[in-house]
Amino acid sequence: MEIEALEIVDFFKATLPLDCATTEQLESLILKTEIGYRRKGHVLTLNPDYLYLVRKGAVLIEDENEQLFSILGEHQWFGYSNQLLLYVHSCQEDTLYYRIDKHHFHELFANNNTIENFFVDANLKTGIAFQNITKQDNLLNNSVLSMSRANDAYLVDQQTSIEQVAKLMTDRNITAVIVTNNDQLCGIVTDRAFCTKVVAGGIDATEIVGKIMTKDPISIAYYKSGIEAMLLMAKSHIRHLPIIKNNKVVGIITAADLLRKQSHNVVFLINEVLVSENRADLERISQQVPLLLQSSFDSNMDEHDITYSVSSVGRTINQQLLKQAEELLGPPPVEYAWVVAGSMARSEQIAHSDQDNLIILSDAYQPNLHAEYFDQLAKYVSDGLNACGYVYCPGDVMATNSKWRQPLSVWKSYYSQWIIEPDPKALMYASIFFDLKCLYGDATLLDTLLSGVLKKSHKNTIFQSHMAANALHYTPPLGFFRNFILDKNGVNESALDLKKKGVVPIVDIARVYALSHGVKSINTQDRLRELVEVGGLSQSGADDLIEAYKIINLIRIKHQQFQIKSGNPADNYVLIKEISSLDRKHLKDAFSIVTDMQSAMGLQYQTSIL
Amino acid sequence: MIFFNHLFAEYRRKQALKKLTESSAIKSYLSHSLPKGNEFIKELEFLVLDFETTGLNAMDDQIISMGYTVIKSLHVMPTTSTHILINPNKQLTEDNVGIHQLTDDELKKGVSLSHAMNVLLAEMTDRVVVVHFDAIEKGFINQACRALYQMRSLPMIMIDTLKIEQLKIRQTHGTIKPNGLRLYALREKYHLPRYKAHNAMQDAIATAELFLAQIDYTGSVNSLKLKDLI
Repeated sequence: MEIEALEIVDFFKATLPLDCATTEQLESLILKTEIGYRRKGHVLTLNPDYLYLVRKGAVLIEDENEQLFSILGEHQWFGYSNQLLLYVHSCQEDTLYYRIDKHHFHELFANNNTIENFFVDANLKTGIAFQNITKQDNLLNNSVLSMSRANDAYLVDQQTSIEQVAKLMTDRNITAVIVTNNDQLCGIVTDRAFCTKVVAGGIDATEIVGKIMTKDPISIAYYKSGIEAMLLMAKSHIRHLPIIKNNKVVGIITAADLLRKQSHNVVFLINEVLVSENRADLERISQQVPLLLQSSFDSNMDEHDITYSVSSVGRTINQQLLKQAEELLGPPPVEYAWVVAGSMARSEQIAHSDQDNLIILSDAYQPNLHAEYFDQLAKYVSDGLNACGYVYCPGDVMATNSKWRQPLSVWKSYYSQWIIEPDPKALMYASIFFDLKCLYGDATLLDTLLSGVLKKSHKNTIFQSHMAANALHYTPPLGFFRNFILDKNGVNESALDLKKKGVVPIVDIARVYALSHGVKSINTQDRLRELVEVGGLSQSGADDLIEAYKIINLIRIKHQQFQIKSGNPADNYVLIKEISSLDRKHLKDAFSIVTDMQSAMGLQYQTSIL
Repeated sequence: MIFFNHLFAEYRRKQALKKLTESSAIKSYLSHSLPKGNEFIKELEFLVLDFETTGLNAMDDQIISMGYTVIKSLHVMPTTSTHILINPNKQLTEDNVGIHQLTDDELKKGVSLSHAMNVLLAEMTDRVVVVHFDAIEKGFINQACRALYQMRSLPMIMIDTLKIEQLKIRQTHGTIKPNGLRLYALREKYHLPRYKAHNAMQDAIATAELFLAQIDYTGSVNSLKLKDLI
């Protein structure tokens, strides 16, 4: 083998902290390296025996509440700490990754503190990066001083020993310090210097830091903008800039500081929600959701990613309202789960929609003692959501309605009844209450409820038939382009309701099959993909439905962002003349796929005998 | 179709095995049955192969280097990557040196074709072979087997990443751009990195990564069987 000829070696050499490993070590590392690939949108199943490194693509990490934790790109590591293994790692883009035997890695670098400490630091850093989000007015156009963490944590005198500096950097978890002499800038020391000068260069750690600093580093004036700082860093291949005011050092700005301030995207919006302090903040941020749709569409984002982003923002707003409510009312007297239903739960929102939510209380709940608290909590959140554009549910499926704010045991009895006696009303509820996601509180309450329910629905074929029959309620307008079969909706006489006639039938089909095959996912495309794996749908059947779903949704998004651009409120009614001839052809194909699948489902679940 | 192909390949393997008496690399290869169509992709091992040759015609031209790597549990194993230089009987023309950057002097240090084939056969045992554009590797392997073992062709299971793509394009009624099916164009399509190095070993890894991407894009990687790819 001629391993040194492999491209991986060059990649490793350019990856922190491997830049300070020897060639022999890198070659030994490659013996225990494997290459894997997952396409965009896929969740990675991490094996705890491996360290992972992104070779190309991007990996998104979310915590158990689907809160964004970090986005990783080329040269970045994941899977290094056990705590992070619990988080969801999904491919934001097609991703080629390397995975390396962890045991071998740690054995190889047992004596290399730079490499071992790197992962301890990285662990803290990625977490802090998302907790330390600064206010929304700090965009890249603002001054570097306003973006920096301006304090003296970064300053050391040039007489300080190397050892002390290393300890200080570790304690404060920082990657660079600025060296001063009587408050005058004289040098900078980054973590790299410990590798290149102390370890490789053999300088004793008891020496003064002045010996290893980079003298007269490039600096930036405090009033310069973030963009200027970014350009300067790119041009000079550096990642840290001391900030100077009146010849004195007043702070430091790092590449990571700048990255966090970039552009109007979903990460940015979610960050804004997370640092908001009151309902007025949230209302203002929420107004940007239509703009998010527009910019996502303009940047050619995939339909699935657009709906996912829009839904995430909605969920984060909802979570933030709950946090505020708890701050206002005090901690909850018993455990509860705040659960959302419908498109927000399925990650399929493209705009604000009605709010559907409920509370599952722990069975320790006592109405006479605790009802007041949860009534107030629900009211605060529901009113807040309404003010943010997630208007009250016309069917009153909201946690403010005491019927939908019940202990676990009561919820269990609701479901039992719906499944055993599926009358029309029960079926209507079932279609809402089977797409649930816990946003806040004790998620095990929902898990307990649903696992019991899935077992029941999985076995009960009569219930399944009723669900299937109910799912055939909306049919795609196959003759749309010939005969213009349209809703008898006054305003929209020559328009097509893409939601009811296109999206809902597919969502319903996916739900019926998912319930009868015990598939737990709730996102429609996830359900369809997983159904193939458990044998509930054929590969081609699922692929066709996903394709149809994407086509219909994309035309719906195109329509809505066009309305937003022209300053109108977005709706689901698409005028026939709006649809290009190519899209018409696609829509027609999509509709016929849905119709075929509906009749296949009707046969399979014998809906005709009901 | 795969059923017949496999049956036929297995039949030919057994026939060829009968004719061999002395123990040899080829006998050892033929004494293992070929991977079966109903085996799961995630459980199979693949030998991803790339040859460099002095030209396209297996009858007149020669293999000058073989590069390969192994895929196991849906991961490429760089540790298995190998590059074998083969000492050709003829001098290289200038054209070839331009493409491969392998000079006569380097190749003189190479091994004989018969030695290289012994190594290759051992690596191919119990594995599915994966190549990009199978005309080259298939043609040259068969030609080597004719010359060295007096066999008409070598029974083996070979997957062609180019054919996988062709089939996919046909199924989705897509169009093929000129040069669109070349290894490096396809890698770009699957968002794989661009590699500078160009030798048989790096190309084998490049093909292996493309193959991983193609099977992941089927969307059913866990239930995918060998017969779905041939």
